[in-house]
Amino acid sequence: MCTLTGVQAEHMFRYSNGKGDGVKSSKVLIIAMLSAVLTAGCARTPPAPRQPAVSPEPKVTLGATLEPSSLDLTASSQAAIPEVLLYNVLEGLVRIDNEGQIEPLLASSYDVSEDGKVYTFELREANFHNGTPMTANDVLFTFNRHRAPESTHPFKAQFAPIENVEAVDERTVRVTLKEFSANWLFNMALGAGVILSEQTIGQIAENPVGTGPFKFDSWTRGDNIGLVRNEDYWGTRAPLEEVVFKYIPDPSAMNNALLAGDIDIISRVTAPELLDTLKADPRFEVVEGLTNGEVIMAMNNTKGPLSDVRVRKAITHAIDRPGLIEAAYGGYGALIGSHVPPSDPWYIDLTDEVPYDPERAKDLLAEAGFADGFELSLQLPPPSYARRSGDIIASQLGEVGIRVNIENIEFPQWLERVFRGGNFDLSIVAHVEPRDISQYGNAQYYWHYDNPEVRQLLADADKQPDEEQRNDLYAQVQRKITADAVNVWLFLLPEITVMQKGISGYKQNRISFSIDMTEVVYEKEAA
Amino acid sequence: MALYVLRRLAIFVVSMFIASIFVFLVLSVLPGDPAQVILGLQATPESLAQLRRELGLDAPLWKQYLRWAGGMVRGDFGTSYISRVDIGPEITQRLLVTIPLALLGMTFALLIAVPAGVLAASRHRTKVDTFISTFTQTGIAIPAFWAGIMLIAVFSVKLGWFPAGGFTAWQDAPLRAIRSLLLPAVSLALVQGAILTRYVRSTVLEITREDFIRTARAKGLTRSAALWRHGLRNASIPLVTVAGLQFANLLVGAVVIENVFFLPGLGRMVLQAIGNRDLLAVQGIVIVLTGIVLAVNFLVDISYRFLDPRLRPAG
Repeated sequence: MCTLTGVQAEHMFRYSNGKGDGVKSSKVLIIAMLSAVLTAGCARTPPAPRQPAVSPEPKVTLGATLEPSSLDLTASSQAAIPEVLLYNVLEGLVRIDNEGQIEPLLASSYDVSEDGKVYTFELREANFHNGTPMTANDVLFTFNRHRAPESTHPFKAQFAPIENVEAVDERTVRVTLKEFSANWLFNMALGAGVILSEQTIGQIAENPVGTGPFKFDSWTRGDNIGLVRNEDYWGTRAPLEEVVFKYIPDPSAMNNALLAGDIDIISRVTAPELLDTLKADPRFEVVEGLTNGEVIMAMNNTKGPLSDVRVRKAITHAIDRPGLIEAAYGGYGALIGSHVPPSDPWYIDLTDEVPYDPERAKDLLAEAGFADGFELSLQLPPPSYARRSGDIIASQLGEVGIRVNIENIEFPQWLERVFRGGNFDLSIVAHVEPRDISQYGNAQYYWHYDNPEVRQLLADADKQPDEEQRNDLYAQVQRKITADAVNVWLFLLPEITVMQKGISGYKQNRISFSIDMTEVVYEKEAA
Repeated sequence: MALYVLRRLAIFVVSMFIASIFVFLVLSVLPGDPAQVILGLQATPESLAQLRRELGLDAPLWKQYLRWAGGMVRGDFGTSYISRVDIGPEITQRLLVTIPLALLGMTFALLIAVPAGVLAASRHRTKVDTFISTFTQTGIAIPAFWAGIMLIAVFSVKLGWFPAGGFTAWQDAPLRAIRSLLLPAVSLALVQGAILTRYVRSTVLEITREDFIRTARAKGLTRSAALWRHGLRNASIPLVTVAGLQFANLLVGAVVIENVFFLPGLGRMVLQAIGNRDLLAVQGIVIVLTGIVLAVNFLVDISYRFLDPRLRPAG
């Protein structure tokens, strides 16, 4: 038995990853572990001091709130799709790391021309999960499919800057942009940029095939999505053999599932009042990370009293944002002063620019001719942060004389009435799209902010190849929109994760939409 | 008998037709554009128009109804706007959770209600009766979802005997599938059982005052023997009626319970579909639920003829 080497044990581990039935593979696993122990015993070292035995768990079950309706992220904008698939199953040429930086992924390297218009990507030798190699043709197919005139890709506009895509050779792709775009590559690092194969494109709604470290395995609708490790991965193999995304919409049911051991991670806590019991429990760890979801109270900048900047500023002064974070999200969530999360390169701190000051709010309202107050409607979509913040804001605005009528609406209604119809006074919603400050240059956007100066600054910023100058332009935009009090930027949506002790490698920030499981290790203390 | 069944069947078909028009009209006036829901905030107007064309949402309403209803007649529920898969098989999959859950709930409810009700009636105005009545009062007052949460707290979180929710597919492990339905079914049955117990009790009480029970007692049967042998069959008709009506309630209860126990049933599916403006799927589910309730009523009507020979036509 002493001749069994670590390599052989490793080999047996590998074998056990094949898709056998559970009993068989766990038997193999036991043999492998046993032999590893025996091999270790052969070395002439004294037995290690007694410690709780630690064994890596092959499987992690993660609880998430929203189940996707389809797995085709080229046909639906649901954030729940990239949560499961991005970086785990599907990969783009580049990716976003935990700090928000772009790094190469399927491209081993890329080169940008002097004028920033020509990108040359060198592709890695990677295979799709069905075994076919990923080549320049797949990149061509993917990009051309999404930008075609008849395409209904939800993020079609992100492909608009592309002038032309060509395959230089099998491993080299050259993308030419119409003009320099600061955000194009960033967008390609997100869900829109994942490389798909023409052979399997027809099945991606139910069985997505990519190049990632996990393969799509199963989907029991209404219950869970299962991924298994890709043993043929081009890069570092994932430590976990199996990942299950389990969908539990009810927050207390989610807690119970964790307490009963049905799940190992709660990926995003939506009811912070339930956290206290979990925090007190030594089995679990609660971590807080950043997102780029700005929770804002949008104001209709062209409607009635709200068209007056003094009124909008008064509304911002009237809201106690730190108190709001405490009441609506249990103190989780960071303050923001404009529409930029701290993880963006051009972030500047404007959180104290328009502080809580009800007296100043009353003065401003009187100055604008509304000393006697007026009435506004507040449209609230279903998420709990919106509904809770809404009640608090309504009472705080009441104190400065603004009577707020709350209307609770469903999300499709919100899309139709508020987002598309622009038919609202106030509305609370989280803007989770990364780097979405550009919307302030779009006068048609639902808050109807029309400032030619900001529009020009934004256009200049996206075309500015020099990073420092670009960041400076975006900083100017932030100052302008804060001075104009376009919206009330309430807080940054927190990312609260609860996990079993022993889980490491989980990305606590959520800059992209991905719930990245590629480096997660679960070392469970043996009971 | 055949004529009677045919007439009931005709009523069933006409009800389904009326229900289908109603469901379609109600959903078509709901605000919210499925195309916008699918493509989200960054969609261009051109892609929205293109998608609406692809989904057939630009056709006039009567055309959309005919296409949908025509498909239904052929057993084709259409393709979901959102998931782009056939709705029919999806509903079947979900029914495999919801129907066993409702049936199991009903079975447990009857297992509680019949013995408890008969016992309360036969021990009328004793401590047993009072005890059972108090118990049923409480049972009616607590909502099923609360019962579910309590059961989870005790049997899953504390004792670890059952999973806190979720479902193991039938084809994977039938026994574990039943295990994952037990706690939800018990939560449903506690409430339904309480309602039905009270019903059984009052029906049986009424029957004990009937002439035929006195006759049975006179010929030498004990009180409970008379009840079990002659009373129960007579009590079964109103009981079947109420159980049939309660089955509809049970389905509604199952929708709520599925969310407490995160079971992949029809209730979860309908909530998701409404949120996503997946109108075809919502229509399909509502029609299937309507069909089930109408079918149960139809069976209840037919069963009278078997339970009560007097209702059968002579000859």
